[in-house]
Amino acid sequence: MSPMWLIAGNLLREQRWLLLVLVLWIVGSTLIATAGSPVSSTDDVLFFLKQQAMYGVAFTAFLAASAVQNERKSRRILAVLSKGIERRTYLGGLLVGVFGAAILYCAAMAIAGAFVFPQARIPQPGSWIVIVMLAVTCAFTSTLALLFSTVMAPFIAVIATAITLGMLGAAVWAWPSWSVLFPVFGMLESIVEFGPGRPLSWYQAGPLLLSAVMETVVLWLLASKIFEYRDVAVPVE
Amino acid sequence: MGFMRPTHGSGTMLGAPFGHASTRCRVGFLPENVALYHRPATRLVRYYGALNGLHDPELRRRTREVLELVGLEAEANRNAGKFSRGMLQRMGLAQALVNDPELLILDEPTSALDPVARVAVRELLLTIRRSGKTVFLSSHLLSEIEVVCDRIAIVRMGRVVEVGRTAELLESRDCSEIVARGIDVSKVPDAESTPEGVTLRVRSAQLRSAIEQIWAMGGELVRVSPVRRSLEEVFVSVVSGEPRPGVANGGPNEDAVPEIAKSEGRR
Repeated sequence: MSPMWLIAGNLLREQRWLLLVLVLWIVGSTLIATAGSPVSSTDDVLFFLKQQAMYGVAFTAFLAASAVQNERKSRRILAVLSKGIERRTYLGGLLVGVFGAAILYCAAMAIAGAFVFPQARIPQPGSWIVIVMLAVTCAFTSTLALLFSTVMAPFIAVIATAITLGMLGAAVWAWPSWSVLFPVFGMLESIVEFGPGRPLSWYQAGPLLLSAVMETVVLWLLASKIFEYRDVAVPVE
Repeated sequence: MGFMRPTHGSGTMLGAPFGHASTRCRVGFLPENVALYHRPATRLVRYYGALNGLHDPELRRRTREVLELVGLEAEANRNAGKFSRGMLQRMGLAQALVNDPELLILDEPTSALDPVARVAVRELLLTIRRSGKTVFLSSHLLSEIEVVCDRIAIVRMGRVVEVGRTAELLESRDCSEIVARGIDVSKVPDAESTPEGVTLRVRSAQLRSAIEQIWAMGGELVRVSPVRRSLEEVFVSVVSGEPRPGVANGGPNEDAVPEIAKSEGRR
């Protein structure tokens, strides 16, 4: 197994209890909400779906922003980076681990959705596209948070991520043609506005997903370049 | 290891610049106060071995070998998070050794250990040294270094101020210690009585005449050896910038030479 997958697997293993709680929360709350009586309100289900989607974005941003710092503070990073791996591979491994968490989160939403979407008369193909968009949005946001965390404390990095997204969102709102540059807003907009009146197709989502993935790769490379110049040793207390 | 960027200067390790990733595959590193993931010992060693590019069946074999080497084979399935400090240190050595490195870099390998664990780690280092590996260790526990190392460098304010083989640093070329029996300690100035006999120090140039004088007094030589100081004494004198009497180039102070040799030298 390549070092990147090993590091990713290790991150998931370290966060396994948190992930388990989140998955249980999504699946459990859905099952409890639908137990006994069939879901009738489409708006309620959509609200729940969108709320969970935003929680997922925030959760992955926090997870990514704290990943490097946790390893540094615990000094576990030293034994890992003393092996024959590049820092780019190390960050890539952490990101793949965060993406894995995002995919798990989205999969939990998909499982919950499989129960409630048909009952709530939510358009089926569109709902799955929203979940894929959510996974890619989580990937983009977490990579941005990781980029900031290479030079900032984790909490500040999350705030910087939120401010950056907000500023870029304002720019896209003011100049709609910029949305090509920032596909994550197109995806967030699609997630927030998704409903029976706003169906989604792969034709619409494809370019957004592709450019978001490409931007995520660019952010990872940029974060790696910055991280190469950062000291990782911390004094022993 | 490339953990920190140099403010200036550069260096190489195994022929490649510091921090070179593929060179690190040939190096084992144990950080100070090693911190490891909370996993069973076997899985932990396998994880670090796999990060270095090892694959089964070699990875399985090396994992078993290093756990035996560090004496943790009985704890192979126990979670490292429940290990004592000494066991963690040995676990740290196991992860450093799993790739069969040419060079082993250890940062304070015996600090924060109890005496029993310290002896265990020291014995392990001696075993590793005997197996032909180069061990580079930094420590403030100078007595440990004195026992384990062949060569020592003393660093002060980030600069190497003294470097050499342990024997060269600690043993004087200019001053010798004579232990003799059958002579009266009161008749030899500056000599002292020890369980071995009468002990005195003389300049190496005056050694022959001092020995002849002891024989003339009817004494019997027990031992003649270069004066040896502890590394702590050498370290303190080097970092404080004091002259180092009796060691290497410094030579003993003329006043420190016992009368028996001085008078013999004047004749």
